[in-house]
Amino acid sequence: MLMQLARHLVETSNGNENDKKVVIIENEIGTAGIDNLLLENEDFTVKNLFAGCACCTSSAKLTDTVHYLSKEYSPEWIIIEATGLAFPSKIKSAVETELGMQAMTIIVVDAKRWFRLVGAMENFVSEQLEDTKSVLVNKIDLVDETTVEKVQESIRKYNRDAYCYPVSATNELSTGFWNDLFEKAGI
Amino acid sequence: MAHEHHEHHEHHEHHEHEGQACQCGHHHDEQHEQHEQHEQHEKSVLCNQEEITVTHHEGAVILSTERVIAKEYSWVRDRLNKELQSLAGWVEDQGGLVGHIKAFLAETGYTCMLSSTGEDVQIKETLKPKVTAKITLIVFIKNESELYSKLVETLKELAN
Repeated sequence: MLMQLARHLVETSNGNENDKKVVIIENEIGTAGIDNLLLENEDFTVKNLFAGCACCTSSAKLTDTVHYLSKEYSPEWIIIEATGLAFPSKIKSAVETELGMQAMTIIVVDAKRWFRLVGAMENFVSEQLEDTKSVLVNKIDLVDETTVEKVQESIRKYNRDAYCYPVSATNELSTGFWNDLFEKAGI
Repeated sequence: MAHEHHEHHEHHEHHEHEGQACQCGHHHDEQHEQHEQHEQHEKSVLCNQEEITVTHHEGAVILSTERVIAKEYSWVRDRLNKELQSLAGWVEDQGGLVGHIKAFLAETGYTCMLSSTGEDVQIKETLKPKVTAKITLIVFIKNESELYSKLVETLKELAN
């Protein structure tokens, strides 16, 4: 999903051929990086933030990293992949208030495990959904249509303003899809 | 004089074979103070790696480790597939919740030396399959020490 987004941003870039269009910051909560290796294997250059969460324990590191990358590469876009334990609204807030940049969050939820997660940690999940306009309801290939509908209803209970996009990361998302998402997010 | 690696054991009490004979044939308590044996020890299947790090965040326990396993890639992949599936099932059985269990495998093991003394270049190739496995568990569970032990068991299975 992340790589699809990155490719879309590169392909639709208006910038100079030589400019860096997209920089990805990978936040790993553990000490053994895994997602970064996958991205590097796809020839992306990845900056890691290890062993801490970008929204709290590594928040200062994150803003420092974003600041450094902005100066070093002047990218059109910086994608921050947070850990599954992060509160994306806090990251958005830090980037906007401390760095004065425009930011948006895209939340990816697991349609198959949604109700199990909500049942076990409702407060945590609802806080993760705060202040976002874009929620990708992933893994719809693993559940039936009724479940997808119910998951979307459930998400809207926690965030009425969120647009839900049922997707499967196994399928390629179109340019039209991303354009629509960005437009609705006000970007 | 105590070797640096020995201190590592003191600081990371979880090391899987502490106080027991390791697969490499060394015994930590008896042999770690001898540097030569220690070097051999570090080259063994089980003993050459970093510790398992344990961190906590938002109620989750995060275990991370890296191992170099002297086995064929496909064997490690299939075995780890089975082991991680079993580990995830165990977490669920304990009433825990899997945030994410991830591993990344990379195969190495080909070496080649090219040498010349003036005319032809001699090529000497070797293949000793090795797989570097990075593993991270992000789990919500009450019994953290048992989770730790399960991961240690998993790593032993990979080394056997």
